[in-house]
Amino acid sequence: MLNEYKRVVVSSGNLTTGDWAVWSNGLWFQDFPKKQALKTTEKKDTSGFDFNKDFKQTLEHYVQAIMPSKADYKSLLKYDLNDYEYENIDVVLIPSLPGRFRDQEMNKIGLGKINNVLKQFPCQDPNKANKKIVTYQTSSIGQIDEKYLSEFQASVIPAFKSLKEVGAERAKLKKGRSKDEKQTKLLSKPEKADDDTFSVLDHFKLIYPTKSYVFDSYDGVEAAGCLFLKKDYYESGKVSHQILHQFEGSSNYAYNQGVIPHIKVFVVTDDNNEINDDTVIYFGSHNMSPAAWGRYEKDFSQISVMNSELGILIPPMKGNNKII
Amino acid sequence: MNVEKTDRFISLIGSAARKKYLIENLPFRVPPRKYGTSDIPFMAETLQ
Repeated sequence: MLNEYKRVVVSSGNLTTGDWAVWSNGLWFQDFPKKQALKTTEKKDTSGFDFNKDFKQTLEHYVQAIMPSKADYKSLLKYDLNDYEYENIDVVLIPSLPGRFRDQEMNKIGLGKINNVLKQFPCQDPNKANKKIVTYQTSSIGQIDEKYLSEFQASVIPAFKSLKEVGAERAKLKKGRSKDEKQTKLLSKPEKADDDTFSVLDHFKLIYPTKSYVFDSYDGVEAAGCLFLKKDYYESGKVSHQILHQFEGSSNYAYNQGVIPHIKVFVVTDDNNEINDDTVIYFGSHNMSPAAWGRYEKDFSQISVMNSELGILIPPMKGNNKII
Repeated sequence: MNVEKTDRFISLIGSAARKKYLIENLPFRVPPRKYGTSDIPFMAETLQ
C-alpha cells in the first residue's frame, strides 16, 4: 500500500517521547497517489493561486534543504517526490529555513511567504482589516516587541497595511520624534490607536500557559520543558503583558484541560470572533518568535531566519461558509 | 483504497464550514481569556 501513495505529515511535535506521550500536539496530513495509479480528478482552483504547484515545489525544496550537506534526498530517502501526483490541495505550505533570503527568495520563507501568499487571496470584506485579531497559541515566546508585532501583523492580516506602509509609518515617527521619546515608546507605551482602528497590541492575543496552569497540570512542572519564556525578557517590558491570554482546555473536550500544550496555531478573525471566508488559520511548528518566522531586514527586502520549521496556512477563500 | 478515503475527507471538510470546524476542535479555548491581575506566565527559570 505504501508504494501506492506518499503521505505528507506536518506536525507541531518533534521526535521525542514527551511530544507523543505527554504534551498536546497537532498533525495535518494528506496522501498523494503515485502518478500511474491516479484516477482522473477534477482540478480545484478558485483563486488563481496554484495550490498544487506551490505545494509540490515547496515540499521538494524543503525536503532537499533539510538533508545533510551535499546529500541528495532521492538517494538518501529512496524516493522521488516527482513520482507522486499533487492534487486537491487547499492549504499552503509555509517553510522556514536558516539563512538570509532576499527579494523573490524572501517570498518563499516564513513571514515573507505568508505576506506574499495573502496578497493573492482577496478578502470578501477588506474594510474590516483594521479590526482583525491575531490569536496565537504558542509554546515558546521569542524576542518579540511592538516593532516586531507590527511587522508580523502586516504580514499575516489579509488586506491590512503593507510592509511598505509599516516602513513609512516608522520613518515618519522617526522624523517627528526626539530620540528620548522613541526610547520611551519602544520600551513601554502601547501605540495610541485612532478611534476607528486598533493599536498594535489590540490586534494581538498571545495564548501561553500561566504558571498556575502548569503547576496544576496532569504531569506537573517537571514536564514543562517544552514551554519557553525567559524571565529577563518577560520582566524587561519589551512586550506588553497586555497581549497575554490564558491557555485553557477547550470545553468541547474535557481531557485537554491540564495537558501541557506544544501545539502552535494562529487564527486571524474579526474582532467579534466570527469565523468566515476571510478567516486565516495557520498550524505547524512555528512558535511566536523571530527565530522561527524570520525578521525583516534592509527595508523589508530581506528576511533573516534561524530555525527550520514547517506549517500550513488556510488563506481567505470564498465559499468556505457553504455546507455541502 | 486509502487515496479514495483521503479524497472524501477533503471534500467533507474542505467545503463544509471547514474553518469553523477546525477552530471549534482546537484543544484550547478560543477566544481566550486575558491573564488576571495575579496571573504570571510559566517561565523557563522555574525548571532550574
